[in-house]
Amino acid sequence: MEHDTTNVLTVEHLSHVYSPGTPFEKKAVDDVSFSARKGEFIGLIGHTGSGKSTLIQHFNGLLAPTSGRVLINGEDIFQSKEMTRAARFAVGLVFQYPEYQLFEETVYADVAFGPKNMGLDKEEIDRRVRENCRIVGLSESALDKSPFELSGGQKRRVALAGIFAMEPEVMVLDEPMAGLDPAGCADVFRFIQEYHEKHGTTILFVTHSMEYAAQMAQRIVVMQRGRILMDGTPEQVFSRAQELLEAGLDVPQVTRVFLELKRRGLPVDTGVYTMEQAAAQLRAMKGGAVC
Amino acid sequence: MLKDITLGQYFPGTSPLHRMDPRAKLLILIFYIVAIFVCNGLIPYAICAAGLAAVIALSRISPKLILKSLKPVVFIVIFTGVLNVLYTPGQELWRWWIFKITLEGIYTALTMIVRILLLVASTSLLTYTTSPMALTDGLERLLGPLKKLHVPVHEFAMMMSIALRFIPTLIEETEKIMSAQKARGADFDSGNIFRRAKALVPVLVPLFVSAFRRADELACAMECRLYHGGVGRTRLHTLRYGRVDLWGGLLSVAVCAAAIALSRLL
Ligand SMILES: Nc1ncnc2c1ncn2[C@@H]1O[C@H](COP(=O)(O)OP(=O)(O)OP(=O)(O)O)[C@@H](O)[C@H]1O
Ligand SMILES: [Mg+2]
Repeated sequence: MEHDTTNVLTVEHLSHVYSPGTPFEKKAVDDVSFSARKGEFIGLIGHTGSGKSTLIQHFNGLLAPTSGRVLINGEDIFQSKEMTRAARFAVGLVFQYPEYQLFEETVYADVAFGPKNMGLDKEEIDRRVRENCRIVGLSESALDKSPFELSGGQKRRVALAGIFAMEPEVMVLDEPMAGLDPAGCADVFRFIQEYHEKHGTTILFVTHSMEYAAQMAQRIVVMQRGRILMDGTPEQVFSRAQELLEAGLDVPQVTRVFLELKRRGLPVDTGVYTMEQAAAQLRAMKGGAVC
Repeated sequence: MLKDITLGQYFPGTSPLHRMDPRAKLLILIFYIVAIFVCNGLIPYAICAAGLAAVIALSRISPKLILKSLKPVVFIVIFTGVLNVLYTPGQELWRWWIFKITLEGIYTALTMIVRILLLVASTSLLTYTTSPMALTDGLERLLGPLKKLHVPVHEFAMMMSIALRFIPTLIEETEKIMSAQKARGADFDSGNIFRRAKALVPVLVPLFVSAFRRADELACAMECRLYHGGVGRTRLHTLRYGRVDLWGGLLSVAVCAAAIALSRLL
């Protein structure tokens, strides 16, 4: 099994039950198996309450599975306390609305919190803080400000830099663009991509938006009611657009247009999910018709 | 850890206990607590405990949950127990250095422990089976006569219902923030007490910030809906005593009275 060695993160038959034994018992994740290879850029999508946030909190050991295992580089992260703590640093987790976790007096100190907990030396912390603040577009002058006097979008950047600066092997982001305006979304999108290119980190991001998933991810995992419904390249996933719609999920607008074209009898391939692909296909069709 | 805090939690249901009027439940609870503290002796406490056990069974609340509600007071129970055992004067059983154990000490300690446990268990049962809304409604009505003395009863009730309403929210929020800081390598479970206290700063600052923000938003929302206190307010659901309340009240009073009477007689 040669390809297994490149799996940074593996989840085996993972289930998670909240409040077992009470009237509020809830199976949020149900027998999920999944693995992420080094450098992959994965989008995790699913309906509200499908268990995305619950699943990702197992990756760095914040939640312990009710059953199943979580492996980082082949090692079970729950085998010892040390391994669980190591998992915190190997997998960086950006929570939904991460700006609500800011607490330090200055932006610099807040971004340095993670690296400091890792026990890095001062120079290394300084390098990481400055470098990652630059990636998220925070100017030098912002570093000495209080995070509480920044705007919402800027706070989000500080929070992102805080995890970026830990330089984890796998970075997991829970709806990193939630609640931002289109420009803010595009920015965050760019920061994540820039970070990915620079460090070759495995990235997994949770989103509600098929558009973002289609634009960013090399691989898309779809969750439904605690289970994985689909897992594959965007082509593979969106070629099952009809199923996605039936599962109550959205598909990119172009895909929807093409589904409609097909329904009306045009011989199109409904696996398209970007404007470029759509344009290319239409052009090809037009060319064919002329001939 | 925080999940152990069950204060103010409500488990919906349809048992007779759930259907009772909150005022009746409050009055019964007050009477029960008086009984626990007036009682003395093994048999009266056995009666009190049996009564509570019967009511718990009737409520169909899992006994596990009741046990869970006792968890936060374990420390207090042990503490009072030990103090009482060691510092009650009386017939000496054993002594070492300045410590001595007396028969009276053991007896007082056991009594105190039973009192605390029954107190906490019965109070939790009330909040488990009564929605916070019903509870504050009941309280407001019970304290209604004090309005004549210009006590702002409605305002207190409103404050209490808001506080109760936000306990679970704040707990959830605390857990979220703790998780987020743990993901950044914060460590809450090791080191001495000072290090642990210091480790809470990254949790408390965001928690206060968000609590104030929430309070602000809530105040604004209430003002936008022209909330101006209790004057002239009418209610959609008015409280009414029913048969359950009558029988529940009579039975409880009978049991408590029997326990009190027995402890006077014996
Ligand atoms: N702390 C908790 N205690 C009990 N139940 C929970 C808890 N957190 C989540 N759940 C439940 O587990 C299920 C999955 O929740 P989860 O937050 O993982 O969904 P999600 O896919 O992230 O949804 P969203 O897109 O809205 O963020 C939901 O039904 C939710 O009600
Ligand atoms: Mg979520």
